[in-house]
Amino acid sequence: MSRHLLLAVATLAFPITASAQFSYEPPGTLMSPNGSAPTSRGYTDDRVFAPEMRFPMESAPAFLNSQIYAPGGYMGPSGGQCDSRNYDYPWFDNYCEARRWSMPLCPSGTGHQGQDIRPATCEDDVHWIVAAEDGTITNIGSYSVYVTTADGTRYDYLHMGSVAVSVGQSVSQGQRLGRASNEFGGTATTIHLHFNIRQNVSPHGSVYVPTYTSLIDSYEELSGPPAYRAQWVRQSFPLASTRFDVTAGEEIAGFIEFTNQGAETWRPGQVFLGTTEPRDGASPLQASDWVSSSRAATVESETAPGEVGVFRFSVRAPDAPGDYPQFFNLVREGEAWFSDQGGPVDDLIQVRVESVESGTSCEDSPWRCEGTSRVRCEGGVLEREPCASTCMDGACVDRVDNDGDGSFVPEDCDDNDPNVQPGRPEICEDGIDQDCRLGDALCAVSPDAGTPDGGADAGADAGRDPGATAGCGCRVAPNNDLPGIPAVVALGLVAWRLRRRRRS
Amino acid sequence: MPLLRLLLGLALLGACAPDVSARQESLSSEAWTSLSAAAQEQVETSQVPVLLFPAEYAPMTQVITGPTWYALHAPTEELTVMLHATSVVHHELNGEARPTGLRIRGNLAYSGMNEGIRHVTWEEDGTFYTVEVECRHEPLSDRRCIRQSFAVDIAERMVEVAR
Repeated sequence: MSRHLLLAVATLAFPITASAQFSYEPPGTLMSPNGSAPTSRGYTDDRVFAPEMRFPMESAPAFLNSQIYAPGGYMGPSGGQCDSRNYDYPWFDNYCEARRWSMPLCPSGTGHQGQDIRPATCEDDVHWIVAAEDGTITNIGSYSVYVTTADGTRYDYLHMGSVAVSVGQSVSQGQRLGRASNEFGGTATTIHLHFNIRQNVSPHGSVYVPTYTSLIDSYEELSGPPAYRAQWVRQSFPLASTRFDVTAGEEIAGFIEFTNQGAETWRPGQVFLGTTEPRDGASPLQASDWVSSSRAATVESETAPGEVGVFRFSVRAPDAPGDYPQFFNLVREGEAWFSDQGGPVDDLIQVRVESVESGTSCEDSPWRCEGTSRVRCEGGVLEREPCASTCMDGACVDRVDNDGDGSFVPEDCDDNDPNVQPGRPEICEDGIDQDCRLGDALCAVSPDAGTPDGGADAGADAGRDPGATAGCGCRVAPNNDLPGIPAVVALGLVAWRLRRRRRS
Repeated sequence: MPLLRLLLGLALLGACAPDVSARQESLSSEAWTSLSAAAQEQVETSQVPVLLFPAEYAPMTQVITGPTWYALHAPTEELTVMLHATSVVHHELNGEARPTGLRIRGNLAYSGMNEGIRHVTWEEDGTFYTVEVECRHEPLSDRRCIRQSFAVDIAERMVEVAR
């Protein structure tokens, strides 16, 4: 029985399906060896080099990640190429993944040059690959097909099987070209599409350009909008650029409105306005009507896609005079921050209060925390001490990293386990939330179909060990009600923008 | 042949170097005359200056043209040799061009590899040319792909079609 047939039988017995809502790591975030934390070492610009392209797989889902550093890869965690972790979100950019191939747009000067895309399942010669734009077939090699568009942009499709076009043929956007396979000059690679875009880029000349952002946009076009995305509409609080004085201890009521641009309806008790920078941080602006110290409000009423949702809350000016900026973002509790799906990003929506003296003396009280500062009233005079790191239980403390994995509490959801930190590959149903994201993942599929060739691409893609450093992470935390943070006032907010502009 | 308006660039220098010009003229003629009639017709439609593969690739060369580009595709038993040429600059980025010690046809050039496919690229009179070589078997060990010299040699011997 051929290896291809063995693989097909195995994967039919254990079908793989996507288990989660589409999400992706930011451009330039690369997988690292052996499951260590991903790092931002790639091309981080949000520029979309091919804004008109269609996603090159005929249907969703599809999964962008590494053939080297993912399970079954030459430098990845144990497993085979069909491991369920390879068929799940989030996506990873691998345009600048370590290779010896010259790549002037990558920080290291070398890179992978294209993007590896796994089809919906680990089945050979099943999933159709289609033309990203109208164009002409200009090459068919032993494992490559090129489509050139009217403006000279070239789309390269590598490792396809069952090629259904011929050189010189005109093709339309979306037309079938071949099926995802593992063709590689007689030596099989993993089942994936290596997808390049080649354009002329001044001052570098004809080069492979980053594909990741173009793929994200086109995938959203293909699969519909993300479940959760919002656009700021207006707010009652002054923008952060305008000084907003509030008397210490005073509460000011207001609202922020967003348009629901996602696919899911927002419901009270599910979608909240949460604190960011850092996420889930206890806010010094917490007022008496907040849900918790890190949740200013929930949406006022059910808000269907396209409708405007209102988040009403007050801000309280802290007792100690000073400038108190606070960023917010929307979060679907237990599922996702909006910034991880379609935006806005975490550092745009801001309420900024200038707490001013009330002219009255305070009552003596012990040290307590206000954000990252600590305050107390001594002899009728309010004292405020900014902490160098953070404040806990009224004391300034250094950020905690007990397990030495480079991630700090609270981002590190288990600070006694170095194998748990944001960015770690998640192992489903093992009782451990390795990536500090949404708890322990459910296994949607039986794990690895057990193919012996996981990492077969290693011969082609083997590169230098790029090393690993701590990566970014994001988690959705439950409401953490912290006791008695003093209050006073106010406001501001700022601008907002979508992380990525959608085409009409 | 009215259709044929082929000249080697170096052939134009023939008056100064008759021996060289005679050789280049011979090469150019063969590179052209060995093309299929369909390929010759396609060359005539190109909107960008055309360079042809050396004569040994001419019989199997397909020529494909578009509004701003042309391409050559020449499959052999062991290789696929390709060329992509366009005059369009798609994006402008900050930064400086990479340093390179490679020159092709007197122009700064770059060499690289992608998934075993060797490419060399250069700009010549406002047109960007890229020659690629894909090895049909064991691309990661075939010296014609893992080393740049084979692709560079093809690029250096390309034949200019006068318009």
